[in-house]
Amino acid sequence: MAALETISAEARERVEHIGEAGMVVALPSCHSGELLEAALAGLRPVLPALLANGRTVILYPDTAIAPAQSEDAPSVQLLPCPLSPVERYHEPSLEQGLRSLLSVGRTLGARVCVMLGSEAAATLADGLRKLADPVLHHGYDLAVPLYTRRKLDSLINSGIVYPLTRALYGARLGYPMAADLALSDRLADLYLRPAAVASQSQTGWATTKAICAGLQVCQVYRGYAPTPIVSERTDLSMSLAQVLSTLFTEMESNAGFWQRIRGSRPVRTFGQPLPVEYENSAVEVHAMVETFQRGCRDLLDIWAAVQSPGTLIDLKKLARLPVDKFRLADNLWVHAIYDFVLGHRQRVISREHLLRAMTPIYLGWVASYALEVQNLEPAAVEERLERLCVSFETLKPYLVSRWRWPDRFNP
Amino acid sequence: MLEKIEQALNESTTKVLTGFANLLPGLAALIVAVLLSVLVAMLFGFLLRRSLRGIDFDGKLAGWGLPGLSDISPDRSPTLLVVRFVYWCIILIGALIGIAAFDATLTQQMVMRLFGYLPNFLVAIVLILFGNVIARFLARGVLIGAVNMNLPYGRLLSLGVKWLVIVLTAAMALEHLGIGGKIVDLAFAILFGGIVLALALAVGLGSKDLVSRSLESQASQRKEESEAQFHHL
Repeated sequence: MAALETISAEARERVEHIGEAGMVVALPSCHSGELLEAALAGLRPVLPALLANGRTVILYPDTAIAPAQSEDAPSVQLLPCPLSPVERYHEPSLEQGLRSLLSVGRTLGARVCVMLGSEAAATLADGLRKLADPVLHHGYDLAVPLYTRRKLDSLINSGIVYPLTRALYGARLGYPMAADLALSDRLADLYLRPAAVASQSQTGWATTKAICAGLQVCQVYRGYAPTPIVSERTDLSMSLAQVLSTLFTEMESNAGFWQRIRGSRPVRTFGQPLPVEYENSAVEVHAMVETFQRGCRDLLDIWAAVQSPGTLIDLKKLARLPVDKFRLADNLWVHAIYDFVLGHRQRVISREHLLRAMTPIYLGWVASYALEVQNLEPAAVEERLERLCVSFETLKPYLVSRWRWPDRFNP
Repeated sequence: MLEKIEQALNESTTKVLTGFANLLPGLAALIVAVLLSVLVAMLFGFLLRRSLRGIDFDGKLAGWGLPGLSDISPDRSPTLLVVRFVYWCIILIGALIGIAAFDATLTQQMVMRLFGYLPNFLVAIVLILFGNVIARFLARGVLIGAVNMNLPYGRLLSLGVKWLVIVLTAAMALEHLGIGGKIVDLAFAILFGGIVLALALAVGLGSKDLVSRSLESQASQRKEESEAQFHHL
């Protein structure tokens, strides 16, 4: 039986009283009684179709006041839990919430645990139905959303997270860090299992854990990516550091797995994609290019500690270009990312400083990418990102080689 | 008269020569002790360097969260720093042994004073070392933050933070060594105040530009809208 230290004694008693359930759903965004009531009204009609026989337990933040439960609907039970609204990619809140959800799920013997971290209130029922269905009825262990991508949306994901995880783990999962996901009982057990080696990190994403364990993973088409809660303009450097810290730390834990993977394969995707609207608007990138140029001038010593000399020279050349000719080549971008991965592993300087020092290079990539795709059709944008992913895969031997032999001469 | 002068000269010459002859064995012992200590220090240094490299001391130190030590180490290697410290300690001990052969009471007095002073000296060294590491760490953090915020005076801010911490730790170290007394306190207060004033002026003058740019951006709705085009998360 899974440990339930994360929830209150009262909630533990309630879990014991409930006994068993077929599905457990966490709604961290329902932080008030009204939101919870509205969410329940939307969810109730969907539940019988998903789970013909069996009880559904809904976890809600313990800060919200739950509506009175009607005794005539024992198939849906409410349980307060220490959930906080998920800020997409902000690992600590998602991680803790997921652990609470899975612990309750395993204690109740649930077949599926669903985290609806970033779904808007209006689409909660649709999200639950689409995510839980592949796990309950198609034998998948993990279902994650595949959002329709606007050209300038989810840029950290498009430029780093998706191409890097795809090249590393060989699975083409569009949003490996999504905050909405459905997990099977097998994956829940795996997620809650203590690390085999004490020094290994116990944290990490459910997606990479599932892929490394050889479990069945799928995607589900959803609408546009939800708007993040955090203020992007003020928190970009911190958010980037948090995302990359988790990604890079996981790479150390899974080094034995990803070094054997070559290429990548598609993942089964359920549903139909939403057509993307064509946006043709000029982008303003002067501030980003300026930050990149300032980084090249002031942070060169820090970059030199991790970047290979060739990459450093190319970055310096790029900083001298005018904005209209500013283009960061895919190979240069991939080399820069891989060098940061290696620097993070070798702890050349403080890891936090290293990751935050990446922000100007990232902004340089965003500026270059935005200039390139500003007038492109959605299909051409997808092709552009596909070329980037292929570059990550093609240059993976460079990463593997330097990971294994970091002291080897590297021009 | 001449006899007395001759006798006095003979006596003084004999005294000086005897004194010199008495000093010679001690001097020879001092030279031998220093030479031997250099040899022992070289041997120890060699063995220590090999052992530390064998256990990847530099990498481990970085892993323990002290990567800043490499910045103040010769050739950016903390291993070399430790080896050189041990090397010079052995030579110092050898020199003390040599001086003891030269004049036992002098050595005793020197050793007593040296050991009495040693704790202060060590604390001062530790203060300087940690001050340096902390100064570099903070300066780097400030520089990265300033560049990410696109501030034009990031280097100046970073330099200011670095020297504030270094000056503070240097004053603390000098106080521990008992050097300078009140002059150090006074000089430190003047210097610290000067740096803070200079920074305040620099930030003030720099922020003039920042405020005007901020007003410009507020005036230009188009720019605001274009920034809102990008969603990073």
